[in-house]
Amino acid sequence: MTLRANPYEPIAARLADVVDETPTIRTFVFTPEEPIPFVSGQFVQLCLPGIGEAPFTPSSSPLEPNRLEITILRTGAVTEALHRLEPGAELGIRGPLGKGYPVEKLQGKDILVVGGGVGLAPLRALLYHVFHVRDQLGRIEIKYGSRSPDELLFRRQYDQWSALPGVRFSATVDVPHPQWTGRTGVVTVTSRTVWSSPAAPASCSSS
Amino acid sequence: MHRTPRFLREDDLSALISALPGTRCYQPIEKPTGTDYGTPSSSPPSLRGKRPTSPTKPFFLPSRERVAAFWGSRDLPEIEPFSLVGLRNCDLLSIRYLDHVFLGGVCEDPFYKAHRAAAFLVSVDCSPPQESCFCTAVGGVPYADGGYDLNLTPVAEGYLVVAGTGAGESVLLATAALLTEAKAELLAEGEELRARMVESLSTAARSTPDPQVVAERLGGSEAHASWEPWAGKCVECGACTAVCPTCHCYYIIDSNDAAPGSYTKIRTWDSCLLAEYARMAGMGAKLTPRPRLRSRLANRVLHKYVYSFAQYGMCGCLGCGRCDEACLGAIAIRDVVNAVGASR
Repeated sequence: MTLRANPYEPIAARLADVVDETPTIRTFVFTPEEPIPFVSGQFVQLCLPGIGEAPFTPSSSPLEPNRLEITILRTGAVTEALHRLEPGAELGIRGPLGKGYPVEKLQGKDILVVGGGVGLAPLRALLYHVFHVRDQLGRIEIKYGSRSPDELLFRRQYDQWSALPGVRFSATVDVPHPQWTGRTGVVTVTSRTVWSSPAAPASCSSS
Repeated sequence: MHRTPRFLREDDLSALISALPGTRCYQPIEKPTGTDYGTPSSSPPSLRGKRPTSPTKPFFLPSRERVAAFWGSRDLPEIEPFSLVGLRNCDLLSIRYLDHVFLGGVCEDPFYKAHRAAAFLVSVDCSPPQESCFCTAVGGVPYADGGYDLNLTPVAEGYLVVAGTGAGESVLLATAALLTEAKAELLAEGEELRARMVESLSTAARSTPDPQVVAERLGGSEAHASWEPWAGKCVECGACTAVCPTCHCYYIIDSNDAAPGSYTKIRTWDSCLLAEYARMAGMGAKLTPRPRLRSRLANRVLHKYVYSFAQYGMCGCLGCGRCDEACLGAIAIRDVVNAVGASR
């Protein structure tokens, strides 16, 4: 949660790896020259000298401040430039900024995490935290949806997450698709009934 | 603290000013375009005329300031001490407001903090108020009750001088030879001036209801149709936010002015009235949170009159009237508040 004395000053970081997630989304792995300790829900500004800066929430674990993963949809000037970068490139990171999720309030609660599309990226940092403290939590239900199967993020991790004790994960796509045998429907609709017994709600909004 | 005013003769004003701390002293100077801050070499400052056209915020939040470099030094800015003479109470209150914004949150802004720490503030009671002034309508008064290092109250043959800080007291000690005891008649003259200014403001200012009442009436009205006529007059020039002493939105751009290929981060003023404000990346239909001018204009007024109370416990409009003077669409914020408030 600490900031540099000058919060506008970028911390130099090297792009260590790039992972293709979907046709338009990549995960970028950064190694900053100093640790960037963050709470899930906090964000950083990625600074590309001469192009600009844009805010992103890390998709990696808050337990690993020396290695930040950020999952980014190609959609504007900064993200177009990011998608052109090769491993080894240097850029700047400012932050962490924002207040983050009030994760201490999750203690002893059932947890429902609902995300859609590239929105699972910032939630993954929260999931890593939730998995880490799952002994202190109730049931953990993760509902994820995307428009089509090829836009689902982090597909190779679903089995791993589902295998964790107390964790249930399910993915849906918005409309039927030839390559999709799972559930269809918009995730906010399919998430309306999750548990038959009422769960104690835990708001995940920052306050 | 020496809170009893001392008397300074008009002829000794320059001597007092030359004893102020800092290498530079900015004072109001009358120009054909209006009164504004400058560093005059000889002429005495205009302390009995109109308040400066510009707000004081550029001294603390320059319109363009380098805030970082790729990959520059970690040194924080060192600002040379300076004195600022002729601030009005609305200027002092605007500094209090900006202190909340830049020093009162989860982190302090090191640049604002450095400018602020370097400044020695000399305020002066208003005489006479300007046509556009309406501080009394938003709960203010045309004379300072704190926030200054020194305050001057103009009387017929000089000024009543009072220190508000230890730094101000030091200046009074160093210039003790210029100061005399302020006799009861002079103190009464100062009080009378203050009362007269409040009186003339209250009769001249088009009435605006109590800001707390306005806040209740305008709360949650951003989508209300009564903003529409005002959006029709607004030409989206951003002059109101530039001259507003409490508007503080900024934008950070990369610049390679220093050397080709070497970039610095420049903080510049932004304006919430501009269509590009808070624009996000992407190709969606709604690239900014407020695509309509009507809601941008409403948001600016609501921030002043409603949200600022919740954020900082004070009204964000100090009644200085600068936006009225600057507006190309002839919009007076008081009229907006009255009209929208009346329609609710």
